[in-house]
Amino acid sequence: MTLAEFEDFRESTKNMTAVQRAEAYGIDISLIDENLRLTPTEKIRQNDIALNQAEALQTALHQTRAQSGIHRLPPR
Amino acid sequence: MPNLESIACRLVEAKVEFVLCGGLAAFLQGSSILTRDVDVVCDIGSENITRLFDAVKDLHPYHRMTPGRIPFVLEQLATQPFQNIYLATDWGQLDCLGNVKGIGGYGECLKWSEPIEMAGFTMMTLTLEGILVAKRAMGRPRDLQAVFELEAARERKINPH
Repeated sequence: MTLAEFEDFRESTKNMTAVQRAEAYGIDISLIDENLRLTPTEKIRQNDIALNQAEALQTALHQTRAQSGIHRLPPR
Repeated sequence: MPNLESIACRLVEAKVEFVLCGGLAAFLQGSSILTRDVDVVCDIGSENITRLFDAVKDLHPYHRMTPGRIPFVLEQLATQPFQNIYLATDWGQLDCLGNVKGIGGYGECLKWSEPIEMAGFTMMTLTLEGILVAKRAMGRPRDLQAVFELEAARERKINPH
């Protein structure tokens, strides 16, 4: 989304509430509600857990590819 | 192993004067977008940076934006001025910014900040309004998505679901 598209979208949704606008944009409001229920400590710990899980998955993927010799999916 | 919590707490322990900004500040204010780094705005080129160096020196910090992974050593600060310092450490990325677009330097950011309690430490973070100003000024697609999220979060704080 460019800045111009952003402004256009805001203009076209000016009669909506901020929550409605976010939903219209495609944002999952339940994730925001979930975030707002957490304390700052819980938030940063949740972020760290997610980062570590993503890193572990990436490492596992690299190892699997290295062992199998497959570096990309075959063409469809 | 990423541990952004410990990076932020290290800065407080070392008495670094900073304001959390960027993705982590947005996440703390209600955005659902995860972040990979600790962004802080601080006074670069002062003894504050010496304290920052002390806070991370045992975490093998290096300048991640430079080829060759140049180690972050204090002597560099005397010979070459930095506007921003982008570090990678054993615990994750730490970006020290001299300015936040749309707001300004550390002093200005302090006016747009509020204290939060995190992991037993009190630290300053940009307010939700401050982040909105910065994100709009940055104007990248992910920043604009964060604007929609943070505006929704602001509304939810006023009128809880």
